[in-house]
Amino acid sequence: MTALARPTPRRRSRRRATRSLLLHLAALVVTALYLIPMLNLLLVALTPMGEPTTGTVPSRLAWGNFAEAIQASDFGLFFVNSMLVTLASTVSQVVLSCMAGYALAKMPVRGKKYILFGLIALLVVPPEVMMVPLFTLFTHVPLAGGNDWLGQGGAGMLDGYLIMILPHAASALGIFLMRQFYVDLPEELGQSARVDGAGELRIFAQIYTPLALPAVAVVTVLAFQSAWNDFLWPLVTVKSNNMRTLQLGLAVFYQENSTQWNLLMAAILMMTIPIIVIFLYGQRFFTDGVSAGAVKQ
Amino acid sequence: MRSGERSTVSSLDRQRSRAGRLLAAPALIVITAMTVVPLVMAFFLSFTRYDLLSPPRFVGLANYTEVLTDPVFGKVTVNTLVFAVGQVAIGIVVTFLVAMLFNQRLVGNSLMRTTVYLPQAMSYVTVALLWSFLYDPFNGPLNAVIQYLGGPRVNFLTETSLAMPSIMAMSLWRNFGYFMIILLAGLKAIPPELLEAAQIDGAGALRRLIHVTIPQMRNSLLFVAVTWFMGGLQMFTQAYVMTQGGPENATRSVVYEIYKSAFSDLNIGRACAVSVLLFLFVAAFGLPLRVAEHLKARRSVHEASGR
Repeated sequence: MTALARPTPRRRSRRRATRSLLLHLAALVVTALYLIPMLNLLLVALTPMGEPTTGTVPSRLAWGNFAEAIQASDFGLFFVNSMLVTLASTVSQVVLSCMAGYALAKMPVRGKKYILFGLIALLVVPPEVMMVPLFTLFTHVPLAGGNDWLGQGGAGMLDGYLIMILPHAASALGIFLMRQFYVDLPEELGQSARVDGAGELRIFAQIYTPLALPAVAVVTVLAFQSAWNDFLWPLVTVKSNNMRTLQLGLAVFYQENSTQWNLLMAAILMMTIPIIVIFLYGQRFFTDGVSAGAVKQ
Repeated sequence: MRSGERSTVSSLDRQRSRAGRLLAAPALIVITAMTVVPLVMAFFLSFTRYDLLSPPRFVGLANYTEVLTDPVFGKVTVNTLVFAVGQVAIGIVVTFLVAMLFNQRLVGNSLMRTTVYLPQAMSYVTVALLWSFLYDPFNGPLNAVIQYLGGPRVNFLTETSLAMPSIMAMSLWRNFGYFMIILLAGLKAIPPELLEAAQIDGAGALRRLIHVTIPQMRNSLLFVAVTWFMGGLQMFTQAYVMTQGGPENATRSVVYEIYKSAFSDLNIGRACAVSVLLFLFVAAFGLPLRVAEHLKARRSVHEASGR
């Protein structure tokens, strides 16, 4: 291509400026599609009771809606339930994933190829497939919740914390992610520690796991989010009001008081803020986590 | 390894193997109890009539023939596929375009990207409630805009033909950011030399897109399509919160059918038959893809966090 055929530098820079302007406009439109609904959420949450809740700027900002939303339902209690279930699930999932991931990466466990293949296969099974048989299992645990020793007669483990925690207590994905990380850490670290007389558990806990913290962060965020946001399983297993989690409490609150948008939006805002804070804090790990395995190697 | 060391090495190996079993056991026991056992039970119970109270009674294939000849189940299957396929088809094009957009140098890029990504942190319940408000025929901002422009009142969630598209729009809105981040990571992984070389060879933007970018993005696009499709097959919460499966079953999904069969009709056998059908469909479709993908992406967790 000769220099004559090219556009003059001035025309080229003008064209680049229009291009940049158009790109910025497009990006702003996309962002607005997200900002406007969230702004609506905030405005409705701050609209005083009795004023029309149309998502426009209210006459005054009713901060009291937040307190009222808490009182209108047992959201404080639901929050505690959600936190308890989520923390227990997350801790268990992280610890068990580290242990099993390490064993499958660094230890000479017999048949680990098959175990690993089994775990990968389980990744595709939707949890909803297990829901009904798992429910029948939990309702027939012997001697629990009024059951006799054959597991008959009572409600089993229904309506308790354990039934909400156990299905989240270990995850194939967590083990898999941890294993991938441990595999890439050098063997020599463990070998030299062994020569120095360190035991196997110590090598796992004090040598390798501190190096695997980025992967631990990924598993933590994924575990926290899946337990905190779970809806279907609590819907099925929780019977009494005081065992409800936030997701469940909110859905019930909506179906019983469908017109009080301002209280509902205040409640949504309050339960979303903690997870957004965690999310922004762990964002780097989280985005790395979601793109791990997705991007070609 | 010299033969003289063998006995000590193998005793160390045995000790390490025992420690390994000890470490792996708790997780594997929980996963077996919470996943493998229920999966086997689902197969077993799908051949029985069972209401949780009296013992299960073997009925052969009755649940399957009943489900597969039920017109409501046919509608439910179509609904679910329309939702899953429609979401992916629209989503992947839009997500790809916007990922390309955010891959450019823009002022405030990371702030805008985070905004788009934020609904990912919100649960389906909260997003469904937020959108129920946006869709509200009397107070909702969407109807306010439509009426301001002189349009009629639109019943997004109670009109049979609109309910499913409305739920799809909401689901797209929520999941969009997650898949955009994945595609963005894929775009960043394309070696810039490839694009430069194509440009020097005289390829225009469109040709570079078709001959360099899209082939390089094959794995990321496949991952997004599969993950999004599988998520679509599991649709439940949106429909439960926003429409209760209505109007006229227009938003009832396969998982909704499982939920309803088991917990409002107390027909565990039928619910398990539907669960098994869902499992078979997902496994036949997803397993080969997932395995291939995980074998390919063996080292990427490490790479991703090392960045």
